[in-house]
Amino acid sequence: MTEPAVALFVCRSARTALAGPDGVEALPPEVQVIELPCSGRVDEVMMLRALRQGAWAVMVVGCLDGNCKNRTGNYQARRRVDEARSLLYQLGLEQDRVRMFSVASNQHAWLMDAVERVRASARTWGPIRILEGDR
Amino acid sequence: MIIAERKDLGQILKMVEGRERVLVAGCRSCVSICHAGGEKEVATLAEALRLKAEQERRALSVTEVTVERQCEKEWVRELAPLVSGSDIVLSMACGVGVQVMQEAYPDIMIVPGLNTSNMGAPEEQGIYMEKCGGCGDCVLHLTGGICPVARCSKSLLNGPCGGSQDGRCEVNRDLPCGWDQIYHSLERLGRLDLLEGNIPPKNWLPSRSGGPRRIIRASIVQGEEEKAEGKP
Repeated sequence: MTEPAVALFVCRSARTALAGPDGVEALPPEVQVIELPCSGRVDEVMMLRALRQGAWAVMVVGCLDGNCKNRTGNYQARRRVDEARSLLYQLGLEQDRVRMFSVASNQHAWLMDAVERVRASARTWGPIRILEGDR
Repeated sequence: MIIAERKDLGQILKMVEGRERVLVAGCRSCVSICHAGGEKEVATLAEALRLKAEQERRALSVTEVTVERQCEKEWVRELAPLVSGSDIVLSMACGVGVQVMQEAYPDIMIVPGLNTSNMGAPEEQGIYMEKCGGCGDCVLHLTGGICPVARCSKSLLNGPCGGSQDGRCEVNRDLPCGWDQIYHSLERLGRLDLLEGNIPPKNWLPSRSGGPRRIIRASIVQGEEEKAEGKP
């Protein structure tokens, strides 16, 4: 079985959490990182499109509450993630395919655990479109 | 403005079931302001429909378009090439827009993507409140600029009723009592005297009881001759 593809939208400020103590981002190759100026940039279309284009799950990584450089970008992101999850539910798909994670920039280990948890869940769901080996 | 909200996706999916070319048509006016049927909501719904089709391994082409106002045929006519290339049009406008579209394109099914609710205004970001009952015989000059038809749950013309407590409505404690608001507005305006007399029974003929209402502004209605003259 192929490994689950994950689209990881991350705020530029929170991205530091992706890098380990050595400053290197060591993510599995199936995790695609999409850096945004702020998590508030993410919207429902981006999340659904990522799923349609092959991601098994979508992670939105933003800053902790009250810690956004743009004041409310992370709150906006959370509302949109909730809306995308509601849409998935109405479509009959697993809501947890889209999740929001709030991190401080030094929470590298916690975030890596979260990535692994999402990948483990995605393995149980499989890809959205089950075609012979094309995803 | 007109307040609406998107229908449940399950209902929408049922309406477009079996169609292969869907046009999702939004409107940039009222429903954009209440985040129900503007460009962004059109894109989101289109993406959800595509995702569902992929999941079911079904061929589906979804086209997105948003016009300035779907309630005016001049704007709607511009959609002709897109409409003719579709099996069905999912209109993200209010009920007026859906009907204007259907009149403009009688041979193609136009279905509503929204539930149209009321004439209202934003209270704060994401919260919309009904303001006008569209009764056709406005009494706002007697009620401190607050509509008793729309904002009193019982549409009382002489309120409040006995169910008004602490400024809240007995129908729902989350609702402010319309007549409490009217009282305080008139108090601020120094016009409590307006409450001393009864508002007489209202003429409901201009309201819904006479069937679909038609307003005629004679000064801008063109005669047959003038219409013929203006044709290219």
